[in-house]
Amino acid sequence: MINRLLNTSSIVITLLVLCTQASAESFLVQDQHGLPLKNAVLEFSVTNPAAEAVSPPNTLIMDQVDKLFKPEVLVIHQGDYVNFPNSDNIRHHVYSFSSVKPFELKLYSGKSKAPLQFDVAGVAVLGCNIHDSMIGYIYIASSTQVLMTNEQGIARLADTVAYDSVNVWHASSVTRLTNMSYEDLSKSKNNNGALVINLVVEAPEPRNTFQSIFKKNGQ
Amino acid sequence: MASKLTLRKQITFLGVSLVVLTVASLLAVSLWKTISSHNLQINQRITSAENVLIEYLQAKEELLLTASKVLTADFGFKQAVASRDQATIASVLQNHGSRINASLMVLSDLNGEIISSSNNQLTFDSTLSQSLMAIKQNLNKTQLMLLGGNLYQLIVLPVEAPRTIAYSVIGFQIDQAFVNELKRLMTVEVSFIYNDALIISTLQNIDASHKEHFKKTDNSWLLFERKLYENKLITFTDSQNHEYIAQLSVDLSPSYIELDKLVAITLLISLLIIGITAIVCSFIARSLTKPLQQLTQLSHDFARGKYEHNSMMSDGGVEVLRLYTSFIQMGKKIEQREIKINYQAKHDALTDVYNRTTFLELLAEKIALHDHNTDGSLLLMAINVRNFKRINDSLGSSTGDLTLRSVVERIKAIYPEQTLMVGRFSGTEFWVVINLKNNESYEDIIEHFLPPLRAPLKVNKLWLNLNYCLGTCLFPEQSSDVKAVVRRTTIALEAAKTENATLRAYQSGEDEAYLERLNLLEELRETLTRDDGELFMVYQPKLNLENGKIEKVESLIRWIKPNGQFVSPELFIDLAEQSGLIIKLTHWVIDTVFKQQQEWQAKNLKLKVAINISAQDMIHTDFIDFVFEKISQYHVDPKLVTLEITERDIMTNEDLVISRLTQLKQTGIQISVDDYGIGESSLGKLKQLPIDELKIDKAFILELDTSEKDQYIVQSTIELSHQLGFSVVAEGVENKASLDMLKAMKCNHAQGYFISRPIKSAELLIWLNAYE
Repeated sequence: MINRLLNTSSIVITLLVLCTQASAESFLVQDQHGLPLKNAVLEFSVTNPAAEAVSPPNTLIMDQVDKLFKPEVLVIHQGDYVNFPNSDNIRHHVYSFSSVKPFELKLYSGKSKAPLQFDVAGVAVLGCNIHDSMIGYIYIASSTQVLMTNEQGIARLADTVAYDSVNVWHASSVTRLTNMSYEDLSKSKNNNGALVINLVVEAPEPRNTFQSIFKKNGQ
Repeated sequence: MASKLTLRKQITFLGVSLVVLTVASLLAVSLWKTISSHNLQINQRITSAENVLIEYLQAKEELLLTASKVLTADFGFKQAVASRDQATIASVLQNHGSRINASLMVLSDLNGEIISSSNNQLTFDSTLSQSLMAIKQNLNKTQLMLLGGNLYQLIVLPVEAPRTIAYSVIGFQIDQAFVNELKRLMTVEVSFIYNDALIISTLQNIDASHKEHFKKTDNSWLLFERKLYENKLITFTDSQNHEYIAQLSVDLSPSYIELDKLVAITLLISLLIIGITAIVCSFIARSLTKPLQQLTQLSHDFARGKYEHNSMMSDGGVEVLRLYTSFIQMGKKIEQREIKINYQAKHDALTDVYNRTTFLELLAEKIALHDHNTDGSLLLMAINVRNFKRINDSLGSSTGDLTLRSVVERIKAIYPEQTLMVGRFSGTEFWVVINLKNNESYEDIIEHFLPPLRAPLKVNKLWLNLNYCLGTCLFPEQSSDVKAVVRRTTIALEAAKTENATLRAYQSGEDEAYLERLNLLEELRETLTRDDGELFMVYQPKLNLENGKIEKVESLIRWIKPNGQFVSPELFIDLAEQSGLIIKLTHWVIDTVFKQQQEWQAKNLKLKVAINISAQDMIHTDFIDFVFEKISQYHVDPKLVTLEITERDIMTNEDLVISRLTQLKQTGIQISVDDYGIGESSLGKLKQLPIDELKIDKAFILELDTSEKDQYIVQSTIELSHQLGFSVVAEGVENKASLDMLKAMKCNHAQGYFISRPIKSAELLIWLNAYE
């Protein structure tokens, strides 16, 4: 999606304007144990936003496949639409109590609902009232420059983009949003030339595992 | 067992101690078993109570979990929480809380800030949020927690929408009802304690002192302290590592009451058994010791000489009966032996007549019972068989024994009816008591007694002619006193012996003379002890016929009583020899003579003094030592001492006397044989004797001048003596003719009234002066 974004008309403008900045940059997001974090979102505050072109709102898809949200994290821009098609043959009751976009959709197999517009920047946490284990996130970015790390925790930014700072978000991060300045970032270059971003993440909460303290103590 | 206890006490003690031991062991074992099974029971109760507690809390946990899950899964609730719809939240909490009768329903946000609470007081509790934040670490598990002073079993579940947006806390208060229910299920007391502070308990009124209360002891058993409670602590740790303790306590006092009852009953029964045992043992011991007492009595009777026992044992077993029977038999045997020994003690073994002691005892009895008016006189006769030694020596002692028996038979046979008893006093001396009939006289009896006694006696085909000496005394005519009768009979027998007569009746006055001799002896003993001049020495000079000088004197003892009575030396010396007093007398003489010689020596008078010594003196062990001691005491020259001893005395114990004389002679003392010529010695003996001098007896000298025979004897004796190397003294010279004759015969010394009678020392000195 980012590629697509980059491949659009804006890429030419970007290349022209941000020639003072360094060449293409890669970012590595890792947790406190040094493990790469996927699905981390990097939202850059661009140095010269005036040069940024305004694109029309897109419609993106947050599917439900095998009682999971797919993708788990969906990055959209402010004002984009999201469609919830339900690829499962069972019923889902998708809801969000997040203040950016509270909603409730009863999705039946094969019966699509109208896409929802997300016009407030932030994160909407999605759940399913029927399947507690289902959890998904929609990141609504206000900046045009927004990246998401791949499986290797790597994200690449075109070298034409100049930025002051970056907001880092991850679902498991202890701090919901981490803001890092360009100066700080450029100090943390690793051997491969990637800029390393360290996040502290929580262990995933146990779900549906119940133990008895008394059984243990009593024996 | 060297115990001084009686058998009865020992048996009782044994029985009782065995029972005590048994009962004590049984009691100990049963107590031990009871106590250990009781302890086991208590432990089982506690274990089961513990299980019940855990199960109960688990059940509560399940309940809380279910309720929580239901609550937190409720979409409407989630919606209300997400939208912070306070009223809805409160009502939902209320609703779910009432479903499971939960005491506490709280909703807190992710920071522990309380959103809603069923307990208003908790809302403002500052520590609550901390506690809740801590609980978060233990999601989905119940735990005990003290909130606002109350203990709760809590469960915390996240409210997920779908990420956690809040926490719901549901809990049961562990209140009085809760613990009471637990107690009902567990049947033990339960208390919850936190930080040593009692939170709640099924026991009342123990808040402050709960520790002391549970450690209380029971002192009803004096030596042992018993716990009143058996406690078990179960610790529950919450997420903040606070320890909550559930204490299970079993009140032991009811079981102690039961136990004490059991012990009391057992002890009572034990005491009863011990008592019964003591009585039974005592009874058995009594039945065992009673025969022993009877046997003891029996042996006491035996000791007293009472052997007749016909009564049977009243008690006891077969063994005791056997013992009793052998006791009785022993008694009979002892009795038989006693009779035999008694008989032997009273009778002479050879002749079967009474021995001396018994004879005299019986005689005393007879005389005491004698009635002079009706009973005839008693003739006491002492019969001595003379020269019996010859029969024994020539015919053998068995013939001798037979002879004595025959003599006894003969004595008994002469007056078989009138002979009251016969006794044997010594080897050949028999005593007889013959009861005279009223019309019989002493002469009648004797007339018919002697001939049959003296008739020849046939022993072993030999006809023996025995000679007898008889002494008689008639009771009560000659004496009415038993001692006197016996003494007088003895005197008569002695008289018969000395007079060589067959029969000698006691003659009145003899006893008195005998007693007089005894008196005289006693006086001699006393005067010897007093040494006050009644006894004194006189000296008879001996004339040396060769040079006409007086060189020697013979010392002679004299006794003149204070009343002037002269006691014949022959008489009292004879008495002294008979009584053994002669030793003391001779000592006195030697002492006196040596002292005299010392005096003479001081006056420059050297006289040889002859001292008469008896056989008894020579034989006496101390004699030689005494002589030597006195010689050195008075510084007497031994050469001036002559000991005169008669020929007869030398012969009484020849070897010993000769060896003693030799010993004396070696020191220079001279030995003289006194009374030579009238003894039984042979000439052959003379050469063996260690003598210096021979004294011809005065029997040959008194009539020397007129008797030719005496002249021959004296002449030849003098010659013989000289040839054997002895000097000769003639004593009893009473006239000049004899003296001249002796001088002619070359007799060495002469002694006699012609020269001088024996005189005291003072006179002797005067006489010597005059003679010179």
